[in-house]
Amino acid sequence: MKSIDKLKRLTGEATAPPQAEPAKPVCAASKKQEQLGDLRRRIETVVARAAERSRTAQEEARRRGDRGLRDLLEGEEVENDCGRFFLKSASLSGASRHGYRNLREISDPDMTAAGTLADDPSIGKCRFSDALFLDTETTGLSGGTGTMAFLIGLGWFEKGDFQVRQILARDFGEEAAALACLADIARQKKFLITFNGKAFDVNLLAARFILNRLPDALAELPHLDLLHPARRLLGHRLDNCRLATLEADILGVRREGDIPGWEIPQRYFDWLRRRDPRLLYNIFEHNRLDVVSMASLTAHLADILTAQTLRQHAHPDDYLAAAGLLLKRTHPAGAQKILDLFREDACSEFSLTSKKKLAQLYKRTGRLEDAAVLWRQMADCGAAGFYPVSELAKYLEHRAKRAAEAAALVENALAAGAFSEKEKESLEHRLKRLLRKAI
Amino acid sequence: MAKLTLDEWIARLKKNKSFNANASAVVDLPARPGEWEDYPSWVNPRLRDALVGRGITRLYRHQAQAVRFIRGGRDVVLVTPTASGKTLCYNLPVLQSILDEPETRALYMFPTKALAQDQMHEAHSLITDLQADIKTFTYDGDTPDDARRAIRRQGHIVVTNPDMLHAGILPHHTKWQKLFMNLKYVVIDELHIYRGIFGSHFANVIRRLVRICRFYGADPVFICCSATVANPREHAEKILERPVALLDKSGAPAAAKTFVLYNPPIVNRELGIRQSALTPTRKIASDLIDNSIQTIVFATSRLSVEVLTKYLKDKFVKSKPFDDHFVTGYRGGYLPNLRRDIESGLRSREVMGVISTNALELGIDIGNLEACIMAGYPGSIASTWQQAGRAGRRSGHSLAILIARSNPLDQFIMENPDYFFALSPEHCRINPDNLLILLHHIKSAAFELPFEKGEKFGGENLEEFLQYLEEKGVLHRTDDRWHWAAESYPADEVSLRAINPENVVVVDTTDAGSHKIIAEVDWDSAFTAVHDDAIYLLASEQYHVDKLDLERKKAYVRKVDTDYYTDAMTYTNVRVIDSFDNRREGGTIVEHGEVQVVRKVVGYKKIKFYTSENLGYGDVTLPEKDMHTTSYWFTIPRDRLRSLAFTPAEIIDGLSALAYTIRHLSAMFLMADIHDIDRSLGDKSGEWFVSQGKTGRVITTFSAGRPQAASGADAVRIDEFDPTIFIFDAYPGGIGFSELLYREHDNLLSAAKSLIEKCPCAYGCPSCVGPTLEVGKTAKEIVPKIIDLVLNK
Repeated sequence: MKSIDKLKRLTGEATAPPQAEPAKPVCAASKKQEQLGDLRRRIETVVARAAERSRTAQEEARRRGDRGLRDLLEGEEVENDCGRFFLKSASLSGASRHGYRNLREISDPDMTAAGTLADDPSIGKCRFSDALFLDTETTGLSGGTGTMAFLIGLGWFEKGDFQVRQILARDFGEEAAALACLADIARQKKFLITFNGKAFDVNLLAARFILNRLPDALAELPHLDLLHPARRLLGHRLDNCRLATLEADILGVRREGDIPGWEIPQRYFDWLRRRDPRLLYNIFEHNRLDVVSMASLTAHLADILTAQTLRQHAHPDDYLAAAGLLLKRTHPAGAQKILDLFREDACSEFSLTSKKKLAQLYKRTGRLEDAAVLWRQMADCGAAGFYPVSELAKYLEHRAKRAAEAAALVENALAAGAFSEKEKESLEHRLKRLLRKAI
Repeated sequence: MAKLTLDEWIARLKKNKSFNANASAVVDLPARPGEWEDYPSWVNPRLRDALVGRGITRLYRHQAQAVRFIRGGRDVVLVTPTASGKTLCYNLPVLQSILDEPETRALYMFPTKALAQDQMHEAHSLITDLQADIKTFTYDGDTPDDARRAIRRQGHIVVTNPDMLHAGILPHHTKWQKLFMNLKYVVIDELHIYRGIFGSHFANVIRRLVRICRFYGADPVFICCSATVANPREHAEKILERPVALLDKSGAPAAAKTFVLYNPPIVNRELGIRQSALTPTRKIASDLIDNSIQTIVFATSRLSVEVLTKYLKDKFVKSKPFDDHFVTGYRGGYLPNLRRDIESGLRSREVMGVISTNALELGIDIGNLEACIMAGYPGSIASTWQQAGRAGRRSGHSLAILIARSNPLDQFIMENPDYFFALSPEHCRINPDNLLILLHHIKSAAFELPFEKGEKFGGENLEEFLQYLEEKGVLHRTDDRWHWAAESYPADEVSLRAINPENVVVVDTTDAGSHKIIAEVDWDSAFTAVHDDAIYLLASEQYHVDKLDLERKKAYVRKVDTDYYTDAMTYTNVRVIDSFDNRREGGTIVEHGEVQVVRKVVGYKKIKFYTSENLGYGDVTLPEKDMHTTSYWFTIPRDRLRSLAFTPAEIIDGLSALAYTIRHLSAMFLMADIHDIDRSLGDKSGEWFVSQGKTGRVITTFSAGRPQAASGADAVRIDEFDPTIFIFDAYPGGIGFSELLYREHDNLLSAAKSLIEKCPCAYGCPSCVGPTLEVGKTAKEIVPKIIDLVLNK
C-alpha cells in the first residue's frame, strides 16, 4: 500500500479498509484478479489523459491570467537577469489630492526634521526625492522563512510628482526577478521610509534575499520607520497606531472598498490556483494607498516637528509630544521653536495635563518664567493640586526671591486645597521656612 | 555517638541482619585505574595551559581518542560513565577550532534548559581561563529579545535545546546565516533521551538541520554523548542517518562503589504488598545524614520528593532551626535561582541532603556526594547508573542503594540482580518515518526552504507527501519546486515531546463566582481521568467531574470529600490490518505489523480508599477512539490451550495476566514509559476480544462495528477463537517498538516466566501477573504453563 494512503487513514481522511473478507475459492479469486487488473489499466489510461488535459488547462489559465492582469492593472511583464515578473508603474501628479493636502504640498518637508524622526542625522543631509517609500504585501504575518513578499510597493518624488512602482511575483518562481528589480531601484535611492518596516517588511525581505542567494539591497540604507515617531507624536490621541487609523484620523484619507489586510494572503493563494486577476486588483490599490500615505505621514510628522502643520489638523498635545521628542534627541532649538507657539497662544483650551506637561518642558529647557505663568494659571483654578503650588512656591522663593508672596500662596493653598498627609507635611514645612525668610 | 565514616557505615550495614534479609544484592564494584595520554601536539598552548591550570595535565585515553576522531572530521558517539570527562571531548576540539579560525561556530544541544545553562557556564569558565574572545550563550525560551540579535551574530558556541531548534531557530535560519555558514560542530548530549516519540521527532529535526546546513554549504561534525544502552551506535546512526564511530571504553579511573539492591519486606503476603519504598528511604537517608555523609535521594515523582523532604526536614531542621538549607528538595518546579543556590550548597557541603526528581540525574555539576538512594527503580538501567553516578563522581568510596517498589519492573530488577549488573539490555527505539511525525516535519522543512524535485527527506517517498500537501493547499508547486503556501507557522503545530498537543483543562467551579483552571490533562488521558462523574485527584484533594466538554476541551469539576476514587473501565479491540513478518514457533504464530485499535471508555468502578473495596459502577458515554498503529502479537491455537488442566475462564484469566506481565517487561526493554505501550487480548480478526466487565472478565463480539457483550457469563468460551496477545505502540502510526519486541519474543517470555516464578506472592500481585482481583486466583499458577506451551518446552 502507498504510504500516503496509510497516512490518510491515520489522519482519519480515509476510512479503514473493509473487514477482511472470508477466503474465497482460489479459482474465483484469480478470475477476479484478472478483472481487477483490467479495470485498473483502464482507469490509469483515463487518469493519465485527464492529467494531460489538466496540465494544458493550467497553462492556458496561466496565460489568460497574465493577459487579464495586464489589461486590468495596466502593467507589464518585465524581464531581467533573474527572470520575469509583473510591474505596474504609475506617476501621480503633484496636483492630485491625498487627504487634506495635494501631493506637491507634501513633497518638500524639512529634512533635518526627517532625520530627527529617524534618529539618523545622515537622512537630514538627503533630499526628499532620495527617499524610497516601501511597503510589501505578504503571504502571512507570522514571520519566518516561509513567508514571502509577493507584492513590493515602492514610491518616490520626482520633479514634484509622485512615482509608484509595484513589483508583483506572479508565482513563487518569479520572486528572484522581483527582488532583483527592487535592488535596482534601491541602488538609486539614499534612504528608506517604511511603516513598521524595521520589524516586518525589511526584515522579511532580508530573509528572501538570502533564500534567493542575492545580496541584500536594503541592508545598508538608512531607514526611517514611521511607526515609532508616529506613535510618539500622535499615539496619545489615537485608539491604535495602525496606518489606516492615522490616515483616517490625521491625514484625512478616506478609503473606499479597501481590502482588509488579513484577507490578503488568502487572496494571493487563490490567485496562484485560479489566476483570476480580479483577486489582485484590490491588493494593488491597497498597497498603492499605503505607499502614498507614508509620504503624506512623513511630511505631516516633519511639519509638527518644525511647527508648521496647519493648526486645524494638529492638536496642542502633538506639539508637546514633538517638543519632548526634540529634547530627547537633544535638539533644544527645535523644542524652543515649538514652545514659542504656545507663548503666543492663550493656552486656555489646554487641559490641565497638557499644561503640566508643557510646564515641565519649559522647566527642562530653562524657561522658568514661561513655566511660572502656567503654574500660576493652574494654581488659580484650584483643582490642580500639589504640583503647581509646590513648583510655583519653589520658583518664587529661589528664583524670583519673593518669599512673602510664596508664603501667601502656600498659606492660601493649605487653607483651600485637599492634600494628602505627605503633601500637607511638605507644604507646611515649606511654609515655616518661607515665613522665617519673609520676616 | 561518634560519627561513622562511609566505610564504617557500610561495614556496619553489611552486618545488619534485618537489612541483609531484605537486600537482594550487595555488590562491591572495585576501583578501576585510569589510562592517560598526552595532549596531541596540535593543541593550542594557551588552551593546554588553561586545562593544565584546572588540573587536567593529561587526557584520559578515551578523551584523546575522541578528540582525534573529531579533529579528523568523524562523527562520534561517546558512551562513557558519569564523571569521565566527556564534556572535554567536545569542548577541546571546538575551542581549538575557534582559536584556529575565529569564524567557527558550534551548536550544543541539551534536552533540558537547566543542563544547557550548566554546560554554558562550564564552557564559559574554561573560556575565561583561556582569556580568549570566544562568546558562548544559551538560546532558549528565556533568552531576552534584545540579547537574541547579538547571540545570532556573535555567539561562537550557541547552547540550546531541540524544541528551540525546532520552533525558534530553523524556521528563522536566515537570521542565523552567520552561524549556519560557519557551523563546524553539532554536539548532542544525552542522546539516549531522544527515544520513542521524542526521539522520532528529534531525528526529523536533525534532518531539517542538515538540510539547512547544506543550503549554507556547511557540513558539521556531529558529536553525540549517550548513557550506557544496548545500541548506542545503531541509535546514533538512526538519528544522524550517517555512519558514526563508537567510543565506549572509558579511560577515566573509577572509585570503588558499593551498590545495594534493597527490597522492602512484604507486609501482606496474600496480596503481595510490600512496605512502601519511602519508609526505608527515610530511615537510611536520615542515618547517613546524621553521620555527616552527604546524600542525594532520588524519588520517582514530585509528590514523593515533597513527602520525603518534609520527613527529613522535620527531623533535621528541628535540631538546626536556623539552617533551612541542611536538607532540601530539588525539582523542576523550583525557581532557577533557588536551584542554583542548592547546587552550590551541595558543592560547598552546606547542603548535606537533597531529595530530587530525575532533574539532577543528568550532568548538572553538584560536586561529589558520598551516597545515593533511589526510592524506586528510575525506569531504566541507564538512568539508574546515571543517578548512582551522582555519588562518588571524582574519588573515594561511594554508596548507591536502589530501593524497590511493588511494581513488576522494580521487582524484576530485585529478583534478577545479574541482569542488572551485566550489560545493558535496554534499547533506544525511534521511528523517524512514522507517517504523522514525518508529515509534520516535511511541512516545517518546506516552510524553511522550498523542496526541489528529487530531494530526499526521510525514508518514505517524499514526492507523494509533497503532492499530498499540494492537494491540501499547503504547498504550491512551481517548476519542480514546492513552496510553503499557507499563512500558518507549522513548527507551532507540533510539540516534540507530547503525543498529542491537545489538552483538556480542568476548571474548578467550587467557587461559583470565580472559576479557576487547576490542571491540564492530555487528550488521551482525559477520557479515563476526567469523564463525567469521575473523581479527579490533585494534590490530595478530590474533585468530582460534573461535565467533560470535549468540544471546548474543558472538564468542570467541584471539590468534594468522598471516601472513594474512580477507575475507568475501557474496552480495547485490536484488528490486524497488515502483517509485516511472521514466524511459527512451537505451536505459536508470532507476528508484527499494522493494526487498528478501537478504544472506548464504557464505565467506571468506584473504589474505596485504603480497603480498595468495590463500591459500585457507573456508565460513561464517550466517543470511541480509533487508531492505526504497529503491534507485535502472538497467537496460541485453542487446541493447545485445551490441553491445560484448567477451565476456559481460568485460561482466559491467565492469558490476560500474561499480557499484563509482557506489557510491563516490554516497557523495560524499550526504556519506554508504560503508557507508550498497551496490550489487548482477542483474536486476530478483531471479532472477539476480552475485556473487564462489571462482574468479571467477559468476551465480547465485535459485530457491525459496535461491541456487544456475548450473552451471559457462560459466553466465556475459549473454543470460539485462537487467543492472540497484542502488545502495541500507543501512538498513531507506531514508534518502532513492535519490530524489536517481535525479535525479542523469546527473551520477553522467558523473563516473564522468571519474574512470575521468583515473585514471593502467593496467588499473583501487581508485581508479577497483576492484581488478583483482576486476574483471578489461578493466574500465577497457569501463566508459566502457558509460557511453556508458547515456547514449546
